Order: sequence, then structure tokens, then C-alpha cells
Amino acid sequence: MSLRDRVPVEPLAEVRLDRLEQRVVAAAAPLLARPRRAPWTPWLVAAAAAVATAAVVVAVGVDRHRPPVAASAPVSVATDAHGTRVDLGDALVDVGPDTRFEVVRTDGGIALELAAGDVALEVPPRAGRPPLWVHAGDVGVRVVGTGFRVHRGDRVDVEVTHGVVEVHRAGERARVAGGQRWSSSDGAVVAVAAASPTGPAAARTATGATTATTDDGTIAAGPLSLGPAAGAVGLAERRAPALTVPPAPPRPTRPAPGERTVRGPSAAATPPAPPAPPVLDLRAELVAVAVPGPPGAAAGTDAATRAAAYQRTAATARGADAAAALWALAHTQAMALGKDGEALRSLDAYVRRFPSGAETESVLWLRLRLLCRRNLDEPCRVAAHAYLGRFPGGTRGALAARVTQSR
Amino acid sequence: MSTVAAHAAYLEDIVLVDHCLDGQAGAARDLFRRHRGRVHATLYRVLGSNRDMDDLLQEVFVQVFGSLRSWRAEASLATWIDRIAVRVAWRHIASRKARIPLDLVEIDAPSDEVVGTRRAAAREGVRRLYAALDTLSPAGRLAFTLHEIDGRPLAEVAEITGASVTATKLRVWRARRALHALAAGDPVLRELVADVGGGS
Repeated sequence: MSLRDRVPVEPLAEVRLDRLEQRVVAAAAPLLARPRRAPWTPWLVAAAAAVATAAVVVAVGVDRHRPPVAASAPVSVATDAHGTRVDLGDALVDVGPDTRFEVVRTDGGIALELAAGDVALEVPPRAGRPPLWVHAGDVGVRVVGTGFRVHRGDRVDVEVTHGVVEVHRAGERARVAGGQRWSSSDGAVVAVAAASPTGPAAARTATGATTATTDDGTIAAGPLSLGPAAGAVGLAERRAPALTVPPAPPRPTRPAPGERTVRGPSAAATPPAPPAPPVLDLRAELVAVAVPGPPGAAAGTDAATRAAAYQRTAATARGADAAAALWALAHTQAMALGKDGEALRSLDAYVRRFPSGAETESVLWLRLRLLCRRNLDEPCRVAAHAYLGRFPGGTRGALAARVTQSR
Repeated sequence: MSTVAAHAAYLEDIVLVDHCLDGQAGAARDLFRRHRGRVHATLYRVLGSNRDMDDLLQEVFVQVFGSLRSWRAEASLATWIDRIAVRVAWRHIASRKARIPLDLVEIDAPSDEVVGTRRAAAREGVRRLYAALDTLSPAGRLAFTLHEIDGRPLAEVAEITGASVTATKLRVWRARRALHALAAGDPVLRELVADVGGGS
């Protein structure tokens, strides 16, 4: 008999527990008190523990009252016929074509007001921080940590890429899992393809143009990083920055009142393209070096999506098995599903959690490949240095060395 | 707990914490009820009695709610709460309030308990065990009780006490050695700690 079995815990009497509970709850109230928030109709989505999927929760409800006025100047974002990616610091947003939204920050929270178009978000667990909201008309999506997409047009659609949600509306409740969509038109839940052909990620190209304005008239074009003030520890610092997007040719975009649109330089003013062959040659060489995948790598989008869900779950464990699962997840995301952003996050998580893992070389090489895919810019070179510092030898090491010297 | 079950618990933790911070009615009560049993059991096994338990539990959960915003979900909520509980226990031990009076066994005993010889002997053994644990350093007592009595793996004990695994192992080993030395002259205590990895 173990010592634990020999020391039975004497239970506390019920009356004693009740009194204790009352005191604790009473003491907790002022500790948890927050600035008063506008009430919202409780179409609260409960997190269903469908545990075959990642640790994410989304609450969808009808929000009749907006959150408090922004504590900082709102930022407006609009795209033309091409999408782009925006790093909010709290989330990465794939913005579809012809999309307009505003980002409002309040007391540490953040709200995205979608006027039209498509946005797809990847949001890490908020735990402890005020929630992130996406508002589309009278539909509010309260985010704890998830991957999902909201479309607002004639109706509002919520599509969950990973996780499980319950949608409450008009007294009815629907459960929406990863790979499914809920629509305000009929309240039905339908399955969608793993890779939506009309999603913002598919529409995003290397020539996307993006505008952003603030109240003080600051304008930025191209890749956007709208995270908190510099120096704050956030996603922007832990993840690969948004890809560099070259300026787009001018397009006849009509700006909204109070918003100015920055167009790319005219054709006549476009600077000559830099000499391509050396860069293209080096990038082609990077792609040519194979990335050995984990055993039993899934083929086909459906199989890959299921495999990624399983790998994500397995990666939450500990030890060598979790490391292998996390590497397999990154490989699936990058090579089978074409989700570079998700793959980079998985790779960064691997590097943080398993700095001496058995798959480190493959992890750092895939990371280098993904970051260098669009351009041999600073993040690409930093990744090359990271690889070279650990694995200087062989063909890959030589390639990485050349990348560090590229300009 | 299986990976799948741990994942489900993680999901529920995130939602519950979010509800607490949103000030939703009943969320704080739910969080308290979900974790009070485990925290109570841990404190009991460290301290050996329910004396002062109300105050200790209240102190633990007041700290939990006071610092709930700092939970970053990198560790499970249970682990995070256990760290707070262990700190509270450590301070309690260090303040020398944990010395068990000789008559505490009767205070804790249910009023309708039939005191058989065997049970009385077992309770006396537990009393002597905690009297012996009282001679250990707070860190040593924590490491030993969390590992040997609360049944936590060494790595987990290290994590929630904020020590290295090596230091934790050493503390447990020293505690075992000290207990076996004390048990050499006490047959009741010796019988109780007979299965504890001994003195080596």
C-alpha cells in the first residue's frame, strides 16, 4: 500500500464548504471587476469538447450593442481586386479582395468591424486578455482562440477552419466544426471543402494592394503590421512578419469618405525590376532541395486535413512523440495544404518547445524555405542564419550561406 | 489523463477563465468548484490536517482570482493553480503554524467513527508521520509530500514548486533518509514508511 493510500484526505463538511464558497466568490468579485461593458444578447456559444480538433473556441452571437469607443485611433483597411495579409499583433488576418474593415482597440481588447468582404483569422488563445471581436452587421463573433473566417455580404457566414463552435440564434442552436460553415440566411450548417476556392488565402497574390489610414492621415501601402506599440511582446514578434508585397499598378478605386487610397506608382514611374536571375536561381535551388516528410505523410486535401487535426492534438502532449507530431503538422500544413502561415507558426512552436528535438534540422530548413519563397528579404536571411548556425555543413548549409549573402 | 481528455480540459479552462474575466454570473463559483477538491487534497497531504484549511483555501483562491489575467494558457489551469497552492502551503509551513497538536486526531475524526484498533493504529501512524515531516525544511517537506503522498511525478513537483528536477530529487531523497532515520526508533512510523524508497 502506497503512502498516498495510507493518508486518506479527511473531507470538509458541506456546511463548511458552502460558507467557504460564499466567501471566495464574494472576494473574487472585486478582483475580477472590469470597466462596465455594453450588454449583449446572450447568444453565447459554448465550447464543445470535440477533442479531435485543436484547442479553440468561438462564440457567435447577435450583438446589439457595440463595445466601448476605441481607446486608440481606429485603422481602416480596404483591398481592391487582390487580397493581402494583415498582422494585427493579436491575430493574423487574411483579407480577401474588395474587403473593407476597421480595427478598433479598447482597453487591451480589439474589435474588427467588417463592412464588406472576407476575412480569415488565426487567433491564438486569448486567455487572460480581453476578447477579440469580429462584428459583421448584427452578428458578433467573440474569439478566444481559433481559426475561422467571416464573410459579410447579403448574409453573414461563419466558417470554422479548426475548432468546434455552437451557434445560438433565435432560440435555435447549431454546432459547427472545423471544415463546416454556418450561414445567417438559413441557419444551416454545411460542410465545406478544406481549401475554399473563394477564400481570401486563395485570392491573395503577390501583387495585392492594401490601404490603411488612421485619423492622423498616416498612410501605408503593402504589407501591414498593425500590432500594438513597438516593444510589446505579441504575435508580431514571435512570428514571421507578413510577406513583402511589391507595389501594385494603379487601379480605379473609389475611396470611402474620410479615407484616402494609396495607389501603387504609375506604370511610367515604376522602377525597373531588380536583376532577377540570381535571386530566382537561388530561390529555385532552395525549392529543389527536398524537405523529407514524416512517415506516412498524408496525400490528398481531405486526408491531409484530417491528418493535421490529429497531429495538432498529438502535439499538445510532451516528449519526443509530441515533437514528431508538431513537425508532422508543420509539414502537412506547408506541403499538403499550402498553409504557409500556419506552418510557420507550427515551426516556431517547435523551435520554442523542442530546441534540441530530433527534427530540428528539417524544421529550420522548411522554415527557411517558406520565408524565402516570396523574396530573399531580411526575415529570409535571418532564417538562413538560424539554419547555418546549427547545421553549417552539406548542400543545405552551402545554400543557406549563399542566402545570408544575397541582397 | 489521456491526451484527448487533457485537451478537452484545456478547452474548458479557456472558456471558464474567459467567463470569469467577463464577470459572467456563476463563473467564479464554477472555477472554485472545479478545482477546490484537488487543491484541498494537495494541501491536506502536505499539511496533514484540515486545521486552518478554510483560511488556506480562501487564500489560494483569492490569489487565483486576483492574478487570473496573468494566466497565459501555456501551462494548464490546474498546474497554475497548484503553483499558487504550493506557495501558500510553503508560507504556512515556514510560519510554523503546521505543527500538529497531539490531540488533533480526535478533532478531525468524524463523530460517529468506530475507533477500531487497526484504524487507531493507522491514524497514529499518520500523526507521527506528519510530526516527523515537521522536522524537515519547508522545501523538503513540500517535495516529499507532493511526490510520495500526493503521488505527483518528480517533474511535475519540480514544475509547481519552481525548482529543478535535480533539486527536487535531492530534496525527496534527503526527506526519505531523514524519515527512515526517525523511523528506526519508532515501529509505528517504521511500518508506515516501509514502502517509501528507503534511505538510499
